Amino acid sequence: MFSPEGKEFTDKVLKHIKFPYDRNAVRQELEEHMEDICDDLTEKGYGREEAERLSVQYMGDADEIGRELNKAHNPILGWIWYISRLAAIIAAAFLITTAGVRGFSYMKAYFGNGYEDYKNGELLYSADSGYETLIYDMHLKIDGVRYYDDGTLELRYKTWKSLFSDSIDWTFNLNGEFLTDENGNKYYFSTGNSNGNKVCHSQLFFEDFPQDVKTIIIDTDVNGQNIHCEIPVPEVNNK
Amino acid sequence: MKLFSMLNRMNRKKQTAIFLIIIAAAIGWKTSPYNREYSSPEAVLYACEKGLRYGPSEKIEYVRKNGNKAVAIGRVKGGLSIIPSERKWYGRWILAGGGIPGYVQVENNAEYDFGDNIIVGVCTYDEIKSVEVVLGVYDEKSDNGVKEVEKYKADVAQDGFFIIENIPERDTTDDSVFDIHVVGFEGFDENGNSVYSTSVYKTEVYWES
Repeated sequence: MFSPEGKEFTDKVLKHIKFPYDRNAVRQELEEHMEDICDDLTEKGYGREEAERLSVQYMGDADEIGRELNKAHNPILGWIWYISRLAAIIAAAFLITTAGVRGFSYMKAYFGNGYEDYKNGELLYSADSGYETLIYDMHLKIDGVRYYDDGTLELRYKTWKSLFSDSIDWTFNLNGEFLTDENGNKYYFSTGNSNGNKVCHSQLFFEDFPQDVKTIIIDTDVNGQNIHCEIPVPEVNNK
Repeated sequence: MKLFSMLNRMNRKKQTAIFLIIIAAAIGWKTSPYNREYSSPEAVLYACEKGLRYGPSEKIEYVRKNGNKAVAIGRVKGGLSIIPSERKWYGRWILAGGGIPGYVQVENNAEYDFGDNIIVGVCTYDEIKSVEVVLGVYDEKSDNGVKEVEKYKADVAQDGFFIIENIPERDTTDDSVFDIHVVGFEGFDENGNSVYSTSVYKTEVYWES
């Protein structure tokens, strides 16, 4: 849209701009400036061609302007800005994705049902525990027990660490003689599973568990820390 | 959107500063303990102990760095905590892949663990001032099923700790290659008398006085 003189002027200025990603912006700025001068001159009665020619003259020495603009658009700072901007976009995407994925997986695992349904028997009773403790930086929550008509008792518990835990992840398993009843009888689980998620749901199955047990006691020691939890079995289900 | 327009109105220096902060945050997070990357093999050891729910080690007995691999050994509850680690190309340390010895409990006056070309152990029996470790390979032709390859001796520190380094892990004396095992372990008092020994071909750990 500008005269060949105007284009020549801007090209001459832009040759001095060493940071290439600023050249378009500088060109636009120069053209707008010349356009403003040109409009002023036209309003004052100059013809379009004359106004365009004069506006280029009024701009001054192209080389001097170019050198000054190159200082203002420092190429070193420009490149640092450009590269850091790209890296910051990638970094921000990484942070947002990581936070999002972690947050979502925690929420899903914590609030969702991470336990598998027992398929070999009908549920006769279930009892919640609500017992929760902290072992080092790991939360342990014993959700409760479920008893099935094939004589199997299922113990459900979950473990998780805080989002900002700095320790290395290892799964936690309740092992050994940790489950007794109110009479001190000991029971050993035969099978079990853990889903291994950030909030790890674990199920242990005790076969041939008597139906008339009134209280299920979980008592164990994890490196000096006692875990003790008593789960009363609903009376109605003992009939 | 308001944030972006604010950012756009800033000059280039301020924008660059903000970009650098974002980059630093991402790098910081990626290489932080929250992402299971640590500053040293000792830090890996402490993080692993916490994750395994024992310790922390009362003191670090030994750290060996060998290229990008390292092993840190801590003293915990009368036993040892042995955690191997490996270094990432940018200098951060992570837990080494594969199995780890973890907590090595001393149950019978002396205990040792063998791996990564070292034998480390701890003696809780005060009389033991030095130990001898016999390395061997399983050999069906031998009477007791093992063939001795080499013996190593080491002094026991005041706190019971001992270490033998530069142990071969494979025997290549014959044409075949065999994994080396500890086939005998003996503890001596200050007069050089054997006061404790155990071996893989004896089922019981026994005492000698």
